Amino acid sequence: MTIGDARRWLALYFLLTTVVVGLYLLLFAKSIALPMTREDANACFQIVIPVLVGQIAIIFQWIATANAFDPDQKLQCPVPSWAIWLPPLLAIFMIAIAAAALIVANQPKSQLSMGPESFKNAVTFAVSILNASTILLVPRLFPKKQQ
Amino acid sequence: MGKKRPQLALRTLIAVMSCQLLFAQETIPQLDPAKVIGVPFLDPAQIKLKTEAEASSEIFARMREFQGWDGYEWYQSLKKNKAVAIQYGGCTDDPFVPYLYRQNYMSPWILYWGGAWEDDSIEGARKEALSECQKSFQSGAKEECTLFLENDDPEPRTQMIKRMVEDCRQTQIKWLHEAKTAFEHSQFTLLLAQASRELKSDGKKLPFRVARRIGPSVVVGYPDSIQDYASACWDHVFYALIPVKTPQREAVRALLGRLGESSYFGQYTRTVNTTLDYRDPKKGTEPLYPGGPYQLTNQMAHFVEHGRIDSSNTPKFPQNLKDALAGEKILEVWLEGAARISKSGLPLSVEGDEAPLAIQTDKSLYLGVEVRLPPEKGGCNVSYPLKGEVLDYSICKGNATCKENAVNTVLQSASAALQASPISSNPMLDEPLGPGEVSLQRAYQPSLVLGRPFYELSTYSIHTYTASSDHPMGDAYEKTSYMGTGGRGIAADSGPLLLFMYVEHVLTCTPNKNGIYSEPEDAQVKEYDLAIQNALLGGIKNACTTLRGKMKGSVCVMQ
Repeated sequence: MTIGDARRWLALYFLLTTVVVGLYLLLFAKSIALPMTREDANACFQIVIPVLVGQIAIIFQWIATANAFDPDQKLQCPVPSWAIWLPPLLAIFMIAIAAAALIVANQPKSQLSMGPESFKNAVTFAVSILNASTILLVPRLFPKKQQ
Repeated sequence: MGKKRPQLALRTLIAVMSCQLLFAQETIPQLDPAKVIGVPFLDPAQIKLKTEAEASSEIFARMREFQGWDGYEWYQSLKKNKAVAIQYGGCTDDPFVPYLYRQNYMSPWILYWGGAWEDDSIEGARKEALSECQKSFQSGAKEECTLFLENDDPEPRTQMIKRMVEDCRQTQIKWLHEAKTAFEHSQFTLLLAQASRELKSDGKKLPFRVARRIGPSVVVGYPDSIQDYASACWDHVFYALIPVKTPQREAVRALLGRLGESSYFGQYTRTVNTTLDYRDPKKGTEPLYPGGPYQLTNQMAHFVEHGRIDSSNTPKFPQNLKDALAGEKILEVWLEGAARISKSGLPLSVEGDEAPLAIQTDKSLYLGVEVRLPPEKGGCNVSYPLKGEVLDYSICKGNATCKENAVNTVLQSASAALQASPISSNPMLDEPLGPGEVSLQRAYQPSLVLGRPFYELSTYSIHTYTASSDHPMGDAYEKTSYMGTGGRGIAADSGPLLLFMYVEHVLTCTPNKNGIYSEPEDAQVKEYDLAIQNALLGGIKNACTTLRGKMKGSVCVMQ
């Protein structure tokens, strides 16, 4: 995996994830797709979005400035490829599973005890995984322009 | 070392608890009755003296009410040698005026009057007027008949009115003195201290917190007033305010915050006397006091509701508190209400009025004080339940079976309507209900009214009562049983026979069944209101068909 591939993958991941998760939390509260109160959905939004938007800001700052000084991006990525894509994928997978469980648990005959509080915990856990892994990699893969 | 650790932990725990206790005691200000505000009869500036014009108007109004009087102009149009004599019974208070304001409603009391006109002489007219008045005179009355009008001479009338105004002034002074003495011997309770004690001592916590949203429909008054609907006498209890000193305000607000966040607390049992044995519905048609009174026991609990106030959601304050806070802008209120709960702690119905626990204005923070005058000083006032006429069964006069059948059909039909979709509730069995009452619930089920993903926790209480007119004030005085049933009840045969009904719906909902059931939004409440109204109207129509009646608007008229 070249450093260019890693950068493209992370840039697309954070951009798409931020938009999709943000819209999901903002638009679907109190519906079958997100059966929780708007207050609970807002709480999840406030957990997830600052982290994701922070990453997008770092990535786009690099795209706007440093990209011009490294046009080929053919250098081998200094971080193993699994360490780049596995944590973000697991994080989004966790949120998706939690949302699915929330929907299933809300069926009248369901025995699952998944509720809004558990969903918030799952979201916090996913963000913690990102915090402990990918967020540390992003500044290294998208360094500030050397003065 | 190992053995000392538990002792140390215990001592620390005791120390912390002691500190908390001390802190809690310090947050509740001392109650000094001398500093209580909102008691109009203690303020001479709020006393209204009667004028001669008012006294004159009241005398003529009483004469009209008592024996028909066509007005002073009519008297003037009569031929000379005319006179009117009245029996004046002194200046008296109006027992139907709230005790707090009674000093402003002292009126000359005219017992009887008699007149004579077109007599041969004025002497003859005087004699005949006095004689006519004496004829109406009943034994035991102390006052003599006195001439009030003689031809068109204003002097007797002026003199008598002056005497009456002076009488009323003296009566006001005497009454004020009595009221102040009664106030000094009253029992004062700081509502915050009482609520705080109840919150601390409540062993079994109830899982719910349901309260009405603070708004214009909330009446600040005695929370259990509905209990006293039958007795119609309760204004010897009223609420006043006491200001909180500035250094204590933050601590008091913290305590109010804790109460506002608490679930139901302070459970108590309310016992109401009824004239009918509600345990046996067949006894519903027995005459008044067959062997009673019987007792109906309800389980009750308290809750505290906090709200910020603006022009759109100001609750209805009693006049004495409005007067006390005149010139100040009310910013926040903490109200304590009472709710009737089921055996399992589900809220069944919220009482109509809520007590003023605390009021924050732009100038000060006030705490509510319950003032309970000595019992013999109690007056009378009537609190009306929400009413809506649903059935006119006047056709059943004199036929007890027809009456019972009509009332039962409507009640069962209304209950069935609330059991059908989309309300889909189930009757609550094994609850102590009064005659003419039905309770239903839909607990932890998907809401068919709001649709997916919402779940609801609803209780419905149907109350019915009978009256012989659409203004049941007269009946209120004759009813001596609970919630208007019993007393004249369905056995009444004078005037039209009307059945009134009101339905109370307590609702919490959640978009996730594993989430917290909380207060619904206004739009959701409206959806439910519409669904309940449609369901009940359908139920009444069905009952009307069964009873072979005709719907007149939303009322079924049996034919």
